[in-house]
Amino acid sequence: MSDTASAWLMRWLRGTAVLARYQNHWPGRLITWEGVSWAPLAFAPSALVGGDATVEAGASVQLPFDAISYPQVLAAQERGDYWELRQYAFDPTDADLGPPVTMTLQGAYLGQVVDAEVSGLAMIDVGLGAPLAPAGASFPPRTITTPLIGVPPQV
Amino acid sequence: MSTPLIRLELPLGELGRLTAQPETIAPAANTGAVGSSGNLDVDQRPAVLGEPVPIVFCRLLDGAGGVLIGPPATDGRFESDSSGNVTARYQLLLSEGRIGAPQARDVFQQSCRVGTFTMAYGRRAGDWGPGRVVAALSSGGEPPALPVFVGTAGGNYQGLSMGSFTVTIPSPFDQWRRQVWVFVRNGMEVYRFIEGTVGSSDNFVDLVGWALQRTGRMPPQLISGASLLTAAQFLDANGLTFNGVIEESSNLLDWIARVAPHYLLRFIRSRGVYSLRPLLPTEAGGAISTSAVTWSVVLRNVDVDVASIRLTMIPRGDRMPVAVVAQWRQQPTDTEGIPRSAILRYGSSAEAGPYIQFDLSGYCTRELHAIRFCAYQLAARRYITHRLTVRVLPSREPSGLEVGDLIRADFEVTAPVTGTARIDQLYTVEQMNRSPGGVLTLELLHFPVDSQGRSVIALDVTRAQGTGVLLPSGRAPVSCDANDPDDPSVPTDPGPWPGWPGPDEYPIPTYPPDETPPPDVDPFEPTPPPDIPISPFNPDPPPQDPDSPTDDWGPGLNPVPAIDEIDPGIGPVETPPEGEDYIATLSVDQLALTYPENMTLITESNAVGVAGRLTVDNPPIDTDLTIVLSDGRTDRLWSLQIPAGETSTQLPSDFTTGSDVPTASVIRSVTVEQHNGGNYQAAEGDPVTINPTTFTLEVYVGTISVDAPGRWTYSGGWIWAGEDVPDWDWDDVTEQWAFTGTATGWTWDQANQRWTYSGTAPTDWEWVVAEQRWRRITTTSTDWRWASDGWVYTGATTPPPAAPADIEAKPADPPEAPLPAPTIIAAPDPASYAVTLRLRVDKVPIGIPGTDDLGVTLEDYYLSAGELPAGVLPFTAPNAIPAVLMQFGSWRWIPAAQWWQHTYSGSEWRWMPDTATWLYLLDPGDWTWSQNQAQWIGGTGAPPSAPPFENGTPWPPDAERWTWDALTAQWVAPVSEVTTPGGTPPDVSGLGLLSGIVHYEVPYSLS
Repeated sequence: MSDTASAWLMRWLRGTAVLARYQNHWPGRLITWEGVSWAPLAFAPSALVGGDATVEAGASVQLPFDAISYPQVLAAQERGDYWELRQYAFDPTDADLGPPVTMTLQGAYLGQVVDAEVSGLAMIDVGLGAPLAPAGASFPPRTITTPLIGVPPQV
Repeated sequence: MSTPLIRLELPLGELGRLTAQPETIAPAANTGAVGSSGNLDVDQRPAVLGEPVPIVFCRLLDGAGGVLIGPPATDGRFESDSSGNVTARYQLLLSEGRIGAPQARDVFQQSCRVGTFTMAYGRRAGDWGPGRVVAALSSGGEPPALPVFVGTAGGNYQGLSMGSFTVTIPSPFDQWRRQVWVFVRNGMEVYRFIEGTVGSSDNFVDLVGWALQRTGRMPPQLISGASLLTAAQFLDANGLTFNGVIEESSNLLDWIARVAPHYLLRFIRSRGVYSLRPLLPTEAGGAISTSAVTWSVVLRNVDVDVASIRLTMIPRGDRMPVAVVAQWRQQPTDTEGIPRSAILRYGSSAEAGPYIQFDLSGYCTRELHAIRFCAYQLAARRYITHRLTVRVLPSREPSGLEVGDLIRADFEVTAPVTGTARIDQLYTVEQMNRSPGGVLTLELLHFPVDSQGRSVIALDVTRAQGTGVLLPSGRAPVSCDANDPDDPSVPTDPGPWPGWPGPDEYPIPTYPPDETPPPDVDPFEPTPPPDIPISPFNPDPPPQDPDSPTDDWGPGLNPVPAIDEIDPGIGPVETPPEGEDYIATLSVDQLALTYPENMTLITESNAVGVAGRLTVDNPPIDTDLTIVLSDGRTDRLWSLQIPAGETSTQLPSDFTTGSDVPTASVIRSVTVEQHNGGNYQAAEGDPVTINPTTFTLEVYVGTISVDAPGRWTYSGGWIWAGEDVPDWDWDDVTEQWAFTGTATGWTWDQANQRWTYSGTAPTDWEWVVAEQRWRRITTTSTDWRWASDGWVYTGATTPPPAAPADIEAKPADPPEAPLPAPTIIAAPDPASYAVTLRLRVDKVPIGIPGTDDLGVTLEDYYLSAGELPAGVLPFTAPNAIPAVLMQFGSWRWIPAAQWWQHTYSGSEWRWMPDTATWLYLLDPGDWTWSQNQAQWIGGTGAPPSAPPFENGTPWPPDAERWTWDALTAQWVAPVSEVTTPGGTPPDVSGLGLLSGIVHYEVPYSLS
């Protein structure tokens, strides 16, 4: 591979079903990839980070604020769907029209939509990760309540 | 302050001495109700609303472990009789989840085994209810002061372990007020990764697994179960246990990340998935490995952006000798935990400090655990010298690299004068950052190894041993036990109290209170109407239907795309010619298709009827049938597909999409192969002759088969498809490199793919097989030793004397092995890998002289999954014979220019191909060259020489510009611009045929 190009692809997963696909290399073009023809939606990825688990916001993406992406972001966050980011490297020689046969998976990230922000009615910044916000990640998980133990005494 | 109790000198090793130092009694941090240095003589504490439900996580094994807890009371019942004796009953909240029921000998009030105790799970314990009963004293006087607010029994106690404690204390003592203590031998039951069963555990990983799942916010897909199992085995094999109570609220991730290092684990997140990985190399069963380590990746200069390499030394202040102190807890079964201190230092270093303290007493109940933790801290400070940051070139990025992996970096730079400077170390991948452009940046931490490739930190950790001494608790003998201190019985709980309404009476209200089902329409569900404006980022996508996903990335699950969908974006979608209906009738043995007569059938089949009608005998029943038609244009084709098994098909009027060049050739080559009668079957290596062109079919080592409809699989090995490597051969069977050259003094270990040194042993150097490099082994000083990459001073003189000089030059390195196999992914499992077949055809004309001008063409054809039936490897050459075959004598047809060229190289004449004339280059005198007569005219004397004549004429043969129409497979005479009229189509018979090789390239992809 004399030269290397990079393409990011993202899938919106619900269970085993793929609800939508995004990619940033052949947007707006019907492409065939791994036996599937699909019209990818555009998006812009941010960096993938792997490291200490306490490093939050391991990945984020930017989507256009439009009639397709916006409802998808809302639905994905509401339902806890997964978004999977993948970064592939390939030889750009034969990749003008679509993904080449040989692509090397170089990075991947699986997460849920944990936050999203619309800016200027133009872009949606979507943070991917695990929804372990501080309020939701208390450990031990339960607290003492009256439904649980009644009214405690004053000894 | 420090009282020497124990002193242990560990065996000396080349890495220094690890010494457990005199233990000091230091107050342990308050880690909750673990009874570590607590005061037993306190009043019973009530439960407090809002506080966390405690988690008791422990398991008494081999005489260590367990927890003494002081559970809070959720209600009580207090009665005094006429003598002033008080009977107190406490309902106690023991733990989240189900714990092992305490034995009779395990319950104390204050420090005495008194009263009775029973336990229940998920309900109240005991058969009594809260209350207060005070009887008048028979002797008159004031009765005992009993609590007024006794609590209520109004809980559901779901998922809780509750205890009932009853004690009667004679007047006038008030010990009934004192705190109840319970020694828990078996804590909360969880899923145990190692055993795969549910039960009490002392494995920290089991607790993490339970916690991550219990939050309800951590989807299972984001937890690496495999890594948790590995980590659990690591803890189990190395005696790192958890015996404690968690009752202070923390952020779960922070808590895990804070505690995990105390278990020599690292809490990481890779690819979005959480996992725990040991900080040390491990054997298969989880034991700390002291063998030579292996690494998965080697990074060299060619693999990285050299300018991005940043090596940062650990500050010297962070590496100075220290004494590490870890507080742990010696847990007796009959009283509170005894705080212990494990102190470790190297030799006599840092005897006066400084001390670095860690509090593990909340959960560490084994001395060896604390000692090993201290050893890791010390060794890491001593041996880890630096960090490295490097940016990997995209084309050289190793696949499958994960955070925590071990890699080797081997960088060097050579200067003319000073020689070669080199960084050649092992590293742990600490962090992987990937930029939007896909560039990977690695943050690496030095992983020190010794001359045998063993982790020096692992060696020191395994060498560190505890004293094994258990200290007395210091508790004075008491005679207050009313119960047998050796009674292991577990009393049966008589409850619940009949007055307790039961758990259903105290449900946690839900919102909304009624159970109205949610509306059918999900307001968040994206249902874009078909006419919604498309984002400018997606100018031409079809409408998305998120609720109808029908495909996946795995080719095996996907519908096979129509070949005419390869690239509709190039040009507008074509519609077929009007005026005809396209009716296909498919029966078991015959398919008949009527199509417009103005179209030409391109598809080759075993039976073709008259123009406008196609008949196919024995059409395939398990694959779709694709028909390709031409409407006479050379830049597009029409295709239609008939689904497999259809017996009657009404084809849509817009059944196809054609496209402009250059995709026509791709369509053509693929569709021909769909026809049953036109297929060519070949076994591996069989030559296949295909009319009109001869090809050699070459299948690589493996075989290609179909294991399911629409799914290709490849089984077999990989071959080296790159250029030849001098002195190295790729073994297709073992898929490894074999050294075939000569390297004096070196032996190539084929099995392990590395060099061993067999030459004369140098005095000062040894060849480190595991690292594949030389290492200095001798010194001239007892205070200097050769570390991984230089001299390290271990003496006591300050400042240190000069380092020893090199006695012997470093021996030469062996030949450098070539890069790994063309793909480092092993031969794929046919069941899990799917491929798309790619045909690469090298077409080389044969029988033609001067093929350098004729050119070698290379064409690629892509066969999507499922286009070929099982067991059949058909191939049909494209219907194209390049016009480059035309050569007559000295005349050669140049297809790109569409003219004849002559090979004459004399100095008198020049053939002007664009005008198809000869030009005389010398002075002809009074002679004139007649193009029409092909002779000199009008001059006197002898005429100049004539241009080369062949076959009686100086002109090209049949100089009509015939072209080969690939679609109709025939010669076409276009409008002529040449001077010589007429002619017949060139006869290419006898000029030879094309030969070529068909390469099957099988890329891999995860299904």
